[in-house]
Amino acid sequence: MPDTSTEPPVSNAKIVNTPEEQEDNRRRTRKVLKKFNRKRENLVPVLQQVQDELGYLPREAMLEVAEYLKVPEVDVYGVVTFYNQFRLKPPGKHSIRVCLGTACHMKGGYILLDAWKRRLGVDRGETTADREYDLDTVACVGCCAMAPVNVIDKKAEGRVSPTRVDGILLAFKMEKEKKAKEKPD
Amino acid sequence: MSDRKEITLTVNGNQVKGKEGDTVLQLCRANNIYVPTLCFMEGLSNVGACRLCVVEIDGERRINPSCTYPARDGLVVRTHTPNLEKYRRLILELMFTERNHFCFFCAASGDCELQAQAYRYQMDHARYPYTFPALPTDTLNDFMVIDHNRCILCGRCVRVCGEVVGNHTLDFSRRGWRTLIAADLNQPLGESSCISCGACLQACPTGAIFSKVSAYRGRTSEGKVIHSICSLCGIGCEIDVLVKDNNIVRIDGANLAGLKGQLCLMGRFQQVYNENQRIITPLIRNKKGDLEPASWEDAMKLITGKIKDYKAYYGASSIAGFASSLCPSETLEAFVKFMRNTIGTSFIDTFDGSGYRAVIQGISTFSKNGKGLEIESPLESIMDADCVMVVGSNPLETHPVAGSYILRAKTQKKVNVIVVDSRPNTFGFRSDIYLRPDNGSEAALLGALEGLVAKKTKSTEKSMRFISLGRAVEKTGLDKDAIQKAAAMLSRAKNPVIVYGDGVLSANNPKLIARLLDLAKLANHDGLKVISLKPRGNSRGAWELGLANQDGMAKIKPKMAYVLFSDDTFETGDWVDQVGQAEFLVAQASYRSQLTDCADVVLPSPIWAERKGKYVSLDGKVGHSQKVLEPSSGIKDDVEIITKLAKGI
Ligand code: SF4
Ligand code: SF4
Ligand code: SF4
Ligand code: FES
Repeated sequence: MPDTSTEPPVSNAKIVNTPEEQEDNRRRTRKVLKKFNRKRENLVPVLQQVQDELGYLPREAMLEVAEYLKVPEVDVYGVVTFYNQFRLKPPGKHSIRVCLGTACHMKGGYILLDAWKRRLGVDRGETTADREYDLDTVACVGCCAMAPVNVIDKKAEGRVSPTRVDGILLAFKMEKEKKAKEKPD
Repeated sequence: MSDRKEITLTVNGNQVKGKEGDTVLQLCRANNIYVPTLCFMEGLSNVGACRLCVVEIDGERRINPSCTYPARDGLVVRTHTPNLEKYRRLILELMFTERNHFCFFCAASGDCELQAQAYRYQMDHARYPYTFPALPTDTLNDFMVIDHNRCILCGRCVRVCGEVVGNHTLDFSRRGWRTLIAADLNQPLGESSCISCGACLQACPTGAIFSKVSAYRGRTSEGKVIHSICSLCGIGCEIDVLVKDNNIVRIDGANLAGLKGQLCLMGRFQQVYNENQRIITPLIRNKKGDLEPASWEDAMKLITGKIKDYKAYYGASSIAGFASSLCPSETLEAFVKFMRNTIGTSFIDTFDGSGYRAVIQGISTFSKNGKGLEIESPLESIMDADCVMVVGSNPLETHPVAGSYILRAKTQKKVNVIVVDSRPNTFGFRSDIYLRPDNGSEAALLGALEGLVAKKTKSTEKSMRFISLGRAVEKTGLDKDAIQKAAAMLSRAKNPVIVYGDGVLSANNPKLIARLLDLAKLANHDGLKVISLKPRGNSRGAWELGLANQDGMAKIKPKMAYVLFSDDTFETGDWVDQVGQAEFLVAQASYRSQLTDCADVVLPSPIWAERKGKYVSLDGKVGHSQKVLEPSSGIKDDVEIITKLAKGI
């Protein structure tokens, strides 16, 4: 079965930057913008560098870019959503990547994706509201023999079953609690 | 373009002629050969997105969309082979299954181009599984809904918003089959830069964008379409009004991609639905002080009696007449005659009369040889300008179509835009330079600009009124750099146009207007290019009829006032308070308002749709508005009422 979920563009997990964070993002975006002249052709390289700087492309950064390059806001949004390399949501502490390459797809990768979506309450390309996890898909990571594969914090994990999702989450939780105990502040 | 080479093609075995540079589709259309299309729209760029217009061309290995294929001499084209028809049907099936097209729940059903094509190809079922994607619906705009479930991604809305409206609010986001139309940074339309002109709605071939005020009220085939002009703001857009059972269902731009076709939210939506309270019978104030329904005879008798009384006791000049310049010229003419000849008073005015007097005085100070409004330029000159300076106006609010000419010039031709306004003005954020001088110091700013432009262009013009930069900085509170930048921009331009609006007209300052004209003359070598955005649909008509020559209020405190308010909704507390002080106040009005609330007699007046007449646009072009509705019973024509009153005196 194909993945027919055309997710709604507005995520349920609302991540709102505080005014201070927004100001900071704007400042850092402007710093990047200074390196470029105001040509429309610079849109993609500008966005890449802003993302390198901020880790993602928050709304306030896109507004700065549109204003600086004098392109309609919707053009910036169109480009950002066209290329998979751009993120609209801040990265989480842990990154979850579900492989949907051919082999993983056949082995039920999309079931894993659904399990993650359910557990985290976010869609692909999104980050949980507490900014702990971000979820996305990848297309083949090169170890099809281990399908279905999930890449957790850049480490590939093979033959993942849907119940394994809970195991991974539990491990992260315990780790967090342990850290909190060591450094109680 | 007439010197384009003539070419001959063979289409479906027949020789057809066209011009070099045409697309195959254009040529077919010009020769009455029907080719089905969806993403094509006259006046917009061609993108070849839907593939419904495919044709077979000899020598081409594949079928090609005719809307993007340039016609060449000698091409052999087939438009309706079984193969093509099969292909088209397949495309339609894919479109229907890709999103949620269930016509019985759709506002566009019956007026939908996609549905019409499906009928044409007798698509009673689809051979592919429906995908039932879960797609959002954006309902936050006051007048429009975007329902992505019906969108076929033809991009007509995107192109009309960018190419015609010049706003570029909409575009595609994401890609492949996840593509969605988005506004700005994916805001709801109602929170975006959208100006609610509704052009995208009219361009949309399906029910993906539909109107909240017209949905489910009737289809085009059930009513009749009447061609008319919009009489609201003096641009004079051409409209097609769909009327069903004596109700206005929908207003479309008559030629969407043409200059006066995109319309604005007032013309397109507010004329279809508003919450004004209609007056349907004459009303007379009774002894208790309440307005009470009365017969036409009683009301007319009371009015004629009062007019005679006031004339006899105080003289004709104790009576003043005011008319709204939303009325057509015929009505205004009758009103002028009635006031001047029958009653004999010269105190007549329009609500925007002070603006007119300022303009005329400004022009005569400037030119000193009795010129008038004819020195102004046509609206279209904005499209040829290379710099537009907007003074005291937010055209997107008062004259949205003029505003969008400016945006279009800016986005498509990179025309520089300067905005000067002492009031907060959101149009300023769309400009290259936004100057906000302190209130009342606009003239100083213009004087400084004049001086700088004269210096830069080495003009020999001995204009006497230059103001030094330093003084202007002091007076206006503006940055020196900003003023210099604006002056540089103006002097660089070969063909700058100055557009001014309500901020200048209501300032009651002819000198300011004279300065504007001076500056315009200095800056433009080909001659002066100035446009004033007059407030109402027939302001220019009213002014030319001499209605506004005299200040109706200042010199006399009228004892009796006759106000032809018609379907105006003008509410300026001051003005109403002043006329309200007349001992006897007659209001001829379509809607209940502050004015009718203090009137002694109210006569019902038809609304724009119930009358026909001549309108003079703000740049002096004459247009004719048609009667699209039969007036409800009890409503009489304004001219008829006035003539009857005249007879009674
Ligand atoms: S958009 Fe057209 S085809 Fe789709 S449901 Fe509505 S009427 Fe039917
Ligand atoms: S209503 Fe007008 S401005 Fe708004 S999106 Fe549609 S075309 Fe653009
Ligand atoms: S909203 Fe309408 S006009 Fe715009 S792409 Fe979709 S179907 Fe076409
Ligand atoms: S009309 Fe030609 S491709 Fe859509």
